[in-house]
Amino acid sequence: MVSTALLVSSAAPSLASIRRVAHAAAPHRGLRHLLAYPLTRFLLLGALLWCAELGIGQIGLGSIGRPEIVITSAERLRLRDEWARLHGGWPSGDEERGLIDKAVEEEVLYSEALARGLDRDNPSVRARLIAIMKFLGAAGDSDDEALYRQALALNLEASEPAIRRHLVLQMRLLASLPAEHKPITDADLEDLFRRKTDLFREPARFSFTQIFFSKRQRGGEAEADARRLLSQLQARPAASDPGEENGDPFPVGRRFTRANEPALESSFGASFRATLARAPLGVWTGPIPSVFGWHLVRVDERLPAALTTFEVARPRLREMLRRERAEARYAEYFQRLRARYVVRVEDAAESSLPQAPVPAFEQLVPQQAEALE
Amino acid sequence: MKTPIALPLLAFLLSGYGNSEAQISTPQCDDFRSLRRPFFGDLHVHTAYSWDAVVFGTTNEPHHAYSFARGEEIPQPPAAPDEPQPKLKLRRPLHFAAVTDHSEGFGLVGVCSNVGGPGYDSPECKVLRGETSLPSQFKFILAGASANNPVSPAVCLEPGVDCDQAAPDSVWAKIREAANDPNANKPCEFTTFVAYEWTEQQFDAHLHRNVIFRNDKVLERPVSAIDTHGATTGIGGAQRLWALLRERCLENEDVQGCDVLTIPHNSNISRGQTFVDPKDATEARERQVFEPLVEIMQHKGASECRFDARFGRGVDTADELCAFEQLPQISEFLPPQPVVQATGVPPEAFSARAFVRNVLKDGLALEQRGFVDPENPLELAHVNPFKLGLIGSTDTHSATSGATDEKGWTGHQGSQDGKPELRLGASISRNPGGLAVVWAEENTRDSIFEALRRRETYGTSGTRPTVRFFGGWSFDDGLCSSPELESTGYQSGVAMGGDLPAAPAEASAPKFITWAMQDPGTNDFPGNTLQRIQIVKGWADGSGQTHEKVFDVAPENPSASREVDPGTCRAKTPGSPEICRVWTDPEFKPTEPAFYYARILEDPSCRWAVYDCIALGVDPFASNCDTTENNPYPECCASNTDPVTQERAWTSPIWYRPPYS
Repeated sequence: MVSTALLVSSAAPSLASIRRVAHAAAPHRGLRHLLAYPLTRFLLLGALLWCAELGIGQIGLGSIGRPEIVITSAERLRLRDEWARLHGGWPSGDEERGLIDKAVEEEVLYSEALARGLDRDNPSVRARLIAIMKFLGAAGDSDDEALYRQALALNLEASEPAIRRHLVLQMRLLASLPAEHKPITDADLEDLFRRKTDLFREPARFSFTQIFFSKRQRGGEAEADARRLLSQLQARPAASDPGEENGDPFPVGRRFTRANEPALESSFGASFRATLARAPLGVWTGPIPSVFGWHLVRVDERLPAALTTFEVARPRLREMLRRERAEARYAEYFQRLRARYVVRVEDAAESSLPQAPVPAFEQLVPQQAEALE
Repeated sequence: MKTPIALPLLAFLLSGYGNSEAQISTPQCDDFRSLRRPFFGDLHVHTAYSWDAVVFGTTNEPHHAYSFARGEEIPQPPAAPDEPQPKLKLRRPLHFAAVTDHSEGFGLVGVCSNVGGPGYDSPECKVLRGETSLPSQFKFILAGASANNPVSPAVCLEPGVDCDQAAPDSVWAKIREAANDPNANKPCEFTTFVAYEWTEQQFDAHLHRNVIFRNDKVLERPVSAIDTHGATTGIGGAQRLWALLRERCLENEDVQGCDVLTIPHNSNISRGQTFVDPKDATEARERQVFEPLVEIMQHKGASECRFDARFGRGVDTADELCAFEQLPQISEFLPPQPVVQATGVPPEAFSARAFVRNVLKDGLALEQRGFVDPENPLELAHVNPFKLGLIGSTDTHSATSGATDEKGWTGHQGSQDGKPELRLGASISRNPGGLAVVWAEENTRDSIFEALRRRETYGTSGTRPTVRFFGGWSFDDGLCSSPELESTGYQSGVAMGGDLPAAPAEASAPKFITWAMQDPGTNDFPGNTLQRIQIVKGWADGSGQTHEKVFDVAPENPSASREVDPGTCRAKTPGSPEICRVWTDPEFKPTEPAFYYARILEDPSCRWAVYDCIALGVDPFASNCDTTENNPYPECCASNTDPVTQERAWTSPIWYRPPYS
């Protein structure tokens, strides 16, 4: 079965897309003409059926009565070659295991979809089969219903990757559906809110005034100048702002109101932020170094990092929970389903592709890959 | 809680002096600063709603792009369909962002993302969703043929499939919803803009523009290149875009408050067609209304100017620092990249107006020559059609807004450049892109949009230096040491993006204050110190000839060293954290129109490829770095891919306009 998909999946999309490519690129015209011949179509139909024939039997009954899924060496080769065409290199061991797992998962879902008859009376499948029959020139005088029955008789759907995809997707959606209606309650959302606290943190904020002593303007004196002003300020009774004439201009500003931590970090650097977090409130402190020089700071207000309120987070929580439940249901379902099959992975065959890296597509058809960004 | 200077200055600015177009928005935030602050953002971001992002495996949607910009983690598009998706996070959040997906593909993307809906199983959709075994680059071409083609893709003709209204409307609704979500657009903290990209392509030339709306009053449906196509013959498609934006936004009574601007990008691969001569003064003015800015830097290269050391000359320039992040080719498709990588394309093959500095110069010449004015046929109107302020952005196609760090760049195009091996191949001339910086009073839509409109912006190559730039006639030479620096800049001069006021009788030459502070960086990746400030002057002489000159303004003896310590990727001779200088144009002629912009150069550092090469075991700095076939990554060692880069910022120009007639 798996190798069925192999041969057809590399052929069918190309066929289907020919009408688009044909008028974009002149060299493909010949191919389009070729496809117009009934003989070509006849041969194609033959090829499709042959592939289907090959495919059947790859799900057999395993030794202990469970159906068996075989990832043949040819299938492994296909997975590797497809990977190589996309990446210009071979998959690593982990990457190949991932490809195989994915192929098995798809196969299991597909078999289950067939077992449940999801393909029967399915309007998408029906329309697709009729379209293929018409494309293959089998229409004649037959009406759609007759074409559909013919296609079923030929087991055409087994070799059609679009139908396979569709059924796999349907099965996946089905598997993610809840068995019974379980409403999302506030308690559920609150629980998620607790579990995912990190996603809902609001950064700490500071309101403060800073006086800047520029290394550019004062050179080595910057720190001493800052300390001098600091002792004057500390001697005053109130923690007043000594005014613009003290210190040097700083383009991001002197007075900051409820500025959040990330914003501070991008203006002053990370260490500055850490010092602000510890500074006493309402008094002048410092000097704090930054790459630019030294800063005296008076922190007036500090709002610690806090959680978004539950009400604000609610819509996002609801969406997260819906997704989380669907994923959990699917994972659980798939695990049970998978246990019903015996999976056998054949040894890897040598690849048909040359061992040198495949040339990147850009080298073959330069520049188009960058088109239209 | 404002500084004492705020109120008088506010009144002063409201009086209309200085930037004549400036309007101060009503204070909305506690930290409103009338002297303005720099806000860093990205106005060019693609998500899964762009077909050329989907085909490379991006599943991130607009809300991901905004979360990412705000500093949250999002999944990176997988480097291959079955690979795990590593999480990505910005080292520092941005202040604003706009998602700009390609409007031409909204129909197809809408149909193909509606699971189980009509057309979902069509071949086009499967190509788009990457469900075929075609090589991804081939998918790209196929999807492109469908999506940017004004002829509808075949799937759109199938019964029940509505590519023209229902599908694009649903995509546009989701884009607006993501931008208007109160968790994304938080006044005073983070700003989003409803936006899209108008993707006009004249054969192989980019005419693309990002369309940015001021607020939630927007077009019912984007004006796409498909809508503007029929009206264009050859060049000039943007005029049709502006006409439709005027009709459906600015002057549409059904969406009162709609305001919009368009920002062109990638003039470097436009064959000069992005900036064509307007036919008359009306068109020149319309261009000023809609197009106050140009994106000068993004992941497909810098567009400031071009110099090629292999030929020892540039495109109408002798400025060697223009050999920075250049795409090798003249347009999207030609000539083939491997060929041009090896030999280079002679500068003469490029259109002069592919590069912004030349466009700015031509703007002066056109202003000097004057346009026929339908409103006043008796006189020529001296309008500068190319009054362009400057920004940078990323053009990421992975929803990774503002991911501009050279170190740890994971690519901007999903499975096309999601791995070092891929980036070091065909993407070697790409880069992590730039940032847009605005000087605005507060972090709100109105305040930032006004800054964009009055061009009080600068672009960076991705780092975050702070740069002020003022022009005037009477600045004191000691102004750099004065606490009044900024208020004087505004009161007796103009900020970046503005026009010099008329020269007072006693003035002999304009003066400029450039004040730059380095990007402080983060603890694990500190910013670079500054190497120098340059002022780039362009002017038109009496005979209509244009000229340019680059002045090294500060420090007096800049160390022009391009050397970095290969162990740390830091400059061997670091410069300063802060530079400020008042500069007087020594060659000023009052009869000649001119522009001046500041270019701030950071100290040299490592280009992104260095980190990738080292990760793959190739040291680009090694003297025996192997350029032969024995090295699987020859790009790491190729002579035309310099491992050292010099990050930079470009301010919007300040213009001098002589009295005409």
